[in-house]
Amino acid sequence: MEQQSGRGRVVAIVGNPNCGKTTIFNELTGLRQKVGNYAGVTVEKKEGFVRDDRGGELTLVDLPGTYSLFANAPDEQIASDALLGKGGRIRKPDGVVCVVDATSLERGLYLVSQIIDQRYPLLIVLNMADAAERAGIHIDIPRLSTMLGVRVIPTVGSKGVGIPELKEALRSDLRVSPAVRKWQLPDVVREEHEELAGMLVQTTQTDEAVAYHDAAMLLSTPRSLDEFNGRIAPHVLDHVRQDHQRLGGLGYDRHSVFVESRYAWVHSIAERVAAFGPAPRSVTDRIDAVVTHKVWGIVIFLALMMLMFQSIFTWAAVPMHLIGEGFGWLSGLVSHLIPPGDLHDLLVDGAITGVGAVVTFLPQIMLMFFFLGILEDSGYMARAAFIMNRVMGRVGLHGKAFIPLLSSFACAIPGIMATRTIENSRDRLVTMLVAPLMSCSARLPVYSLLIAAFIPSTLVFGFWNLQGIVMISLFLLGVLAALLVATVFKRTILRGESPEFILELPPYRWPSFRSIFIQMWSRAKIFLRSAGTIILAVSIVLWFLSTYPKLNHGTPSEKLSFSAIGRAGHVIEPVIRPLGFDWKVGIGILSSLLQREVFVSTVSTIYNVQVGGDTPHELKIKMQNDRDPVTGLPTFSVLTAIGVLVYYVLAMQCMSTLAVMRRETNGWKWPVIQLVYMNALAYGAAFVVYRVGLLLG
Amino acid sequence: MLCTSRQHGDVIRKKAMSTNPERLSTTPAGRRVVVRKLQSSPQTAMRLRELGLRESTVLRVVTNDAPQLICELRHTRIGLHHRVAKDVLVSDVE
Repeated sequence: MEQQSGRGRVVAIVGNPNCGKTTIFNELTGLRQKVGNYAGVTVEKKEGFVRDDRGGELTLVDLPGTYSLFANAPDEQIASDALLGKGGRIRKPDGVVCVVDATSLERGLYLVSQIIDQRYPLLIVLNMADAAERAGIHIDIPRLSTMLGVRVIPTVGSKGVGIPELKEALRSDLRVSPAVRKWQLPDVVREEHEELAGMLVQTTQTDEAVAYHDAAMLLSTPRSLDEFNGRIAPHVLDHVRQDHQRLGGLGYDRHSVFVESRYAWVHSIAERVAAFGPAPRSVTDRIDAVVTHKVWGIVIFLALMMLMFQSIFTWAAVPMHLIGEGFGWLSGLVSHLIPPGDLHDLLVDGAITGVGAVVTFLPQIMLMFFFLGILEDSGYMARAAFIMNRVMGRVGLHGKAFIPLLSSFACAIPGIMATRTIENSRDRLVTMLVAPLMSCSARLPVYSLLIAAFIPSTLVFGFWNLQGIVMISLFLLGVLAALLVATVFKRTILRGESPEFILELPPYRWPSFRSIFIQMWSRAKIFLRSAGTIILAVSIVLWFLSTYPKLNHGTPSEKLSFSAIGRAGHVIEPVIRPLGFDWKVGIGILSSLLQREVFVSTVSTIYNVQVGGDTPHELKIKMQNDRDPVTGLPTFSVLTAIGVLVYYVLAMQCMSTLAVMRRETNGWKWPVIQLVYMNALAYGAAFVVYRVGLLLG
Repeated sequence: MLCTSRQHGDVIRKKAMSTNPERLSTTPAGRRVVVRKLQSSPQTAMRLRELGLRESTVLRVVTNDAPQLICELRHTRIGLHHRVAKDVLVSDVE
């Protein structure tokens, strides 16, 4: 985790999962961090800046959502550590803005009570005030503010309502902490708690507020005290053990007494400040009855996936064609301006064609993010996890693991990060290990190219495009492989019980198209930046390697074979020949280690050097027409194309993903295991596909 | 008509205490119940309590489609596996 900048005051934004913290953070800072309608969108801290009343800058830190400072999962631990000043390099905040979902007042105030215990200067943001009104909840805000002793500001973050008042309050009101802790423990428990807190202050050098929290945690923890060996002095742990026995002997349930005492206080406040009308239920109930049904729920989920992949193929066709034409026009313009020669070939066959071949797929990637954005923003994502819990349970994983896996359709990196919401460390590790098997957007250009070139665009049952069916089959293959590998890990080296399935389901809401378009645009920028840097550089290097050393006489194929890349390709060809791949595919696979979509620019550059041509979408025709110079047979058949597709579904080719794995697992062991098993699986599966295909003729 | 949560809760709880507890996992969809006891493991019980699912909480079963159910506490919906729900004892309030 990066060091926070030292400028000005630091204010943390905290709250329950999915209460709208990041929306508030974005409104305050002008940033565009990802938001979504499910718990666990924010799994790491994010920083932004706001000007304060002294002309300085206030650093706002958006923390992952948590129900409590007693963390259950790594994302909650980040929030808890930041607030308790235990995060090592994270600077303890000078104040806290606690965002409370107005429709879940009591649960929000439970966290507020823990923050008040930490003596922070505090502001409470009562967010989603409009949703509360619609739900028939009326909250007396001045009274709530008086009872808590802190300013309470109602907001509707998604519409910017209350943000000016919040900005003003951040500049002026966030100076004082509530005077006293408000909730009360039974006397006996309070005495033990205070005594233990005093011992912790003396033995661990922590401040009184943190010791107060730690003492409560030690007294109520359901975990074994042995886990605290080395962190807490042995005589203090012995004292805690005696406390456990004493409280049990007096009839107190130590596990629940702290939670219940806090909630008693929270409840007393909610009773005085909130009035509840009847909860509107009919529409949401009817949707949930169908969407989470054990049969219809899965049918609807699969239908949504089908719709997504069919649409990616059909809706993107026109803009893809236009982009291809645009690059064709650019090639023509360069050809017109620059006379034939190496510079012309470098620009046309290397740079423009290589970059154009990849950029052509931008509409498909944006469409994919559009659909995923709708799933995330509507509240469906958590429902998908709920219905898939049954399937995930069969492989030994928690339904929660499905959200990171679904996120990995966009990119495995946020998917791996999203595993921080998983409480059990083994389940989390298994989910991280299989997340890259989900087909990410970087594979989309490879799939699209090979499907468009070798799978006929015919209708099945009169309305399903065969190309779309193959596309979804590839995504399903990734899902099936992930489930299979997860089963193996869970039954072997990562065996263990999963925690019970408890998952909050957010209310349905209309997706915010503004936020979806922001996500699509930010993804498009990443894609275009990559096209303008890595892919451009690779295309230029590949052009040189596929042009030099030059053979002055001979066919284009002979010249290509004579070039550096041709020679390198022939060296690696024996390794991939058993899969039915020729050396050009081998070079494509090797260059994909930088990024998967580089495969497209690589084969585009190689074929352009060999055959020539101006537009990127001629690539599929060049691939269809390519012949083995020795046998005269097509280099690519449908079978070869399927083999390459299967290889790309299963192979680990993303260095960034491995780097994130190393960071999340604190070492190289698991990234190496992931690299080895995925590539072995990919090689084996492609081999089987090719050999069985040959046998079947 | 609006009523305070105190009035509302008291009426419901009094009614509920007079009936026999049953397992949440066996409660049909549509029923409103009050939580009588959490018999879960300490870790699970603590999680449920922190989510607001505590003794004396009134909740409504939205769907119950074995082996999972969805219940609603005030305006929050929580999905639970039956393994969790069977350790939550509830009483009917209607």
